[in-house]
Amino acid sequence: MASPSVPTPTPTTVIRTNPISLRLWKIISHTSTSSTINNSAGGGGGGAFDDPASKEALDIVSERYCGRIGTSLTSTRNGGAKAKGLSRDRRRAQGGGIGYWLGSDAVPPQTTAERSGSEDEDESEEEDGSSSAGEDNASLGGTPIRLGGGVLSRNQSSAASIRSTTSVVARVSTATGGDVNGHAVVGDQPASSSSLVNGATNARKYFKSDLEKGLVQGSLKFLSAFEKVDEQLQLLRAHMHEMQDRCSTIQGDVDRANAGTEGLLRRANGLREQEQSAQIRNEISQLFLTRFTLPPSAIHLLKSRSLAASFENAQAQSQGVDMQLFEVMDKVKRIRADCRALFEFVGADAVGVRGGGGGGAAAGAAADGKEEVEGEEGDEKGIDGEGVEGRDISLVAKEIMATTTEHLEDAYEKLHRWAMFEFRKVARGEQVEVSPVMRETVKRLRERRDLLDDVLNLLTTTRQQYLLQQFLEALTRGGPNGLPRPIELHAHDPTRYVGDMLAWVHQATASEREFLDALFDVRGHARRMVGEARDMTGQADEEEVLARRCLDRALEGLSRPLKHGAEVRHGGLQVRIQHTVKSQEGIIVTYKIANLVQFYLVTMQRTIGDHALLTKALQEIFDSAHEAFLETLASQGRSLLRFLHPPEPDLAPPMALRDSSATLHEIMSVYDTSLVDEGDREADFAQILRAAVDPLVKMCQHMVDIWPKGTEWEKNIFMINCSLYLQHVLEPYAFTSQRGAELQEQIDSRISTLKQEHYRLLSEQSGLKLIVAAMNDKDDPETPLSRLPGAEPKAISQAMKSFEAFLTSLDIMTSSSLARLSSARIASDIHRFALDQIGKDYERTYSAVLNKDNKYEFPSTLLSRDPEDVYMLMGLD
Amino acid sequence: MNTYEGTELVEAYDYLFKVIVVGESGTGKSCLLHHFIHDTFKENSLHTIGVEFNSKVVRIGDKSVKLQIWDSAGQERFKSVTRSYYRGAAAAVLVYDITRRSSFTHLDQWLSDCRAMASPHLVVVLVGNKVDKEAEREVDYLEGLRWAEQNNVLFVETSSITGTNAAQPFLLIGQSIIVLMKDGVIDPDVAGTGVSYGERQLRAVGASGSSGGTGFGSRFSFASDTTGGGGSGRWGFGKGRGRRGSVNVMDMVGTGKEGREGKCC
Repeated sequence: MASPSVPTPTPTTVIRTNPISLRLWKIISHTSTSSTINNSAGGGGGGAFDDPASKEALDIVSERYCGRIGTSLTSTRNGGAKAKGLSRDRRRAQGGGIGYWLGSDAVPPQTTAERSGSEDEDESEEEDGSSSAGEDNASLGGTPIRLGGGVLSRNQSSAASIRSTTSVVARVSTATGGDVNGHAVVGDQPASSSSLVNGATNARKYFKSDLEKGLVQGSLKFLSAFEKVDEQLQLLRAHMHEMQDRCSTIQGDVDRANAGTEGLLRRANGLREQEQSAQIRNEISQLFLTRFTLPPSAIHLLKSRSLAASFENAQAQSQGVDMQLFEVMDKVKRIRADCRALFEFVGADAVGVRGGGGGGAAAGAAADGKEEVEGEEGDEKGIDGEGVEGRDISLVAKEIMATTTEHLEDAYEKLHRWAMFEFRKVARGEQVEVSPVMRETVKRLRERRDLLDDVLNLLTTTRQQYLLQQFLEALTRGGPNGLPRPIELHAHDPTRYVGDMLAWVHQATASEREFLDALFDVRGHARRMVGEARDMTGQADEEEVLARRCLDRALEGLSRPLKHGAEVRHGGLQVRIQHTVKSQEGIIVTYKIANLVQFYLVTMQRTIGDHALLTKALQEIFDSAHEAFLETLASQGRSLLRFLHPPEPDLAPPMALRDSSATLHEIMSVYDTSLVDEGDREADFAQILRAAVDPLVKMCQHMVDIWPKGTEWEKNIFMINCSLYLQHVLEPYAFTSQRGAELQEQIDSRISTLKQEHYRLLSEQSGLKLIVAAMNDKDDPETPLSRLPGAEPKAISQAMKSFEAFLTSLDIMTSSSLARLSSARIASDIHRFALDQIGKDYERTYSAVLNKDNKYEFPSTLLSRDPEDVYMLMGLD
Repeated sequence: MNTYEGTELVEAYDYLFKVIVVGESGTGKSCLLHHFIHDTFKENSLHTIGVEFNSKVVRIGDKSVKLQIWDSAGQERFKSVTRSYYRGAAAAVLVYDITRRSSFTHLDQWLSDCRAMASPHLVVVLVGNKVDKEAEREVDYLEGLRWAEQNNVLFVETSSITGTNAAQPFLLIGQSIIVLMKDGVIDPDVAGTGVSYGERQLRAVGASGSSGGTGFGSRFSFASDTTGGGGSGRWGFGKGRGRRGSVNVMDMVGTGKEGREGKCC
């Protein structure tokens, strides 16, 4: 028996890895070994699969393959065991099936093998697959199992397992086929024993049929067993088909469901995107709103009618005018600028809509609705949204513009009201300092000229009234307790009165100017004194213009005489000054007032400009005062000419001239303090000078004219005296130089007249006159001088005598006839001139007498002195 | 209001004082004023014609005071014009030239003009100018000081070239007037004193008025905390007409700085 020694086949890798195959393998291999063991132990198997693992495996197989297989197998096993038992006894060897096959020495008939093999559909295939294995089987009993295992591992489905079982059978048959030969060999042996031949033959006969019967029975059993398997398999198959059907149905359903949900998914995606875009839109809208609209608090601030900037409670939400309001206004303006930019950006798209602008908000709403619908319908229609958006934006922009315009108007209106309120308060305080809010307010209102004008009108009106009231107070009440005294207390001192008033105005102007500079934020002139000259010709900036205008108007009240209630008491500066001027008798006072006014006129021209009302008023006052002065001057001149009398015997300047000159002197000293530039003074003062000096000169002339007894000599001396006096009065002032020069000319001409006259006089006195005349008359060179009348030697001798007498009595310094000349220097000049001429005459006479051509006999006896002597005697060199 | 207090461009002030600068021609009045206002020497200064005007806000203690300063011409011929500006002045700066005795000897005339024409509580500061020309000094420091004490005015020596003490006269004026207001001698509410409230005080008044006495309280808050000597009449001004002139110059300013230059009293 080789069976026990047959080494237990080791499972293949595949079997090892597959737990079920492994079990099967174990079962099968165990079956083979245990059956061998059982066989050796005398059969009676049953406990072959005692080990629990094998049992379990068997159970699994039986369960899987419908118990019946298990039972069939068991039966097979039992059958096998019986077969083995049989195979032990060869005669009764009726081993069937597997049992036979397990027995290594069993000789299964070829037919059985073939028959059993035919049972299997895959027999031939298996046969081929295991052909080599079949060869191995011959020597190694366990090999088919291995092959079976291989088959098992290859086909794990139940059908395959079953098939493998079938193939095992096939293989068994093959193996037995192999053994048949062996049997044949064995079978040949009994032939040698004749005793046994019959038995053997019978046995052989029956054996074969028994064997076949057994085989058939076994095969039938197999068949029935497998039939059941087959049935089960068919069932299984049906189930599988059903399952397949169900699965495909489900698949179909799933596919349909997928197809159905695709739309939904797409839609969901679309919605998601829409949500996202809606969110973005929302954000953009929020941004847009914050950028383009005002928060409610700001709107409230704009619309609130409250004006009080909260002093007490800075934390409280302000409703009045303060920096917060300006911030809001700035924002509104920014919004408008942005809006404008938006318009430009949208530009081309919006043109159409803007062109048909009448649609207005309704169109906007419609567009909005449309947009919404489109949004819901998803992204398919989103393409044409851009155009709509463009139109939309322009509409929104328009709306925003409209709203902001309204807001801005509110703000301006509020500022206006506040400014009105504040400026009314301003009227109550003397010193007004400008708060930043007020300055800002004025600056903002500049963009609304009508409102600003309104506000400024109020301001200037109140300031006007206030200043006038202050002015009247200063005039009539003075300081506290009447100190400093009211200006009107000095009304008896006209210059002080007028000066005080004008100084007050000047000071008020400075304060007012400072106030306005602060109010209008005038810069660039900050470092300049208010009293200093301003450049009035240059291009003034807007602030400057405004400040000037307001200053002008605020001061208007001071200068303007009140139209109603013409009482002087309530009048302004102009009325008062003019009244003062009119009530003055003295020309000097009048002039002082005029000059004082002029001083302030020039000051104001330099500080507030030529065109300011105050300047104009001052100009008017000055003109009238000046006119009054000139009028007084003229009437004074006229009165001079009215009461004429001949000059006094001393030919001194008349009293009237002295008085008038004193007046002139004062006028000029007053004029000297005026603000008129040095260069312009001469021309400026010429009129006054003419008005003052001309009548005086005329008066003197008239005095001379109405002096019948007066000689030309006396008249000249008088005129020179008067002119000299005038000249002396004018001399200290540079601005009279021209007039002084004119006077000098007149004086000079008169002096030369006097010189000639004086010479003539002296010439007569000296006795040289006739001789000189004779020398001058001599026209015939042939006729000697001694022959001419008046130059005869006798006459010469006579003349020399009188000349001698003249020389001895001569006052070489002056002459009595010149004594009345007020200027001794001029008198001596004239005298010297005359003496010099006399000396020259004598020298001429001397040389003429000595000239032999003149045929004087003993000329030296005629002449007692030589010319040098004469010059010396006359004090000349 | 707090948000833009720091951005105020024009200095707000508590009080406004009107000041006139007088003295002989050529004593450096305009230069002194120029130095005070602009902190530089005024080159090529010409004779002032009539009256010029300037203003500056100064800080005195915890008060801001705006000084409205009228710079008068010293020349005799302008006297008729300039004297009108004494009216309404709260203080006068009387300037003489320490290098010209004549400018010092005429001080009596100037002072009497001031007293005659200005407010009775006129604060006068005597200023000896041109201390930079020490070598040419003709009027001694003590002489000036004695005159100031005799006439009951403040005294300081300055230089408008170097700027020595240039601001002192004006600061002294501010201090003195504030003291006078403290004593209730000068009431800024009354017109014609040359002293008036500025925007800040007015604002304070408005606030206290509207909030029923809370907030700033009385604008005369300082009147209640008068120091010991405040009411004793030591400051002199206005405490009885007869005793006018009892001001102790040193006390007035409370300093007795050493040295000849840079001193004030």
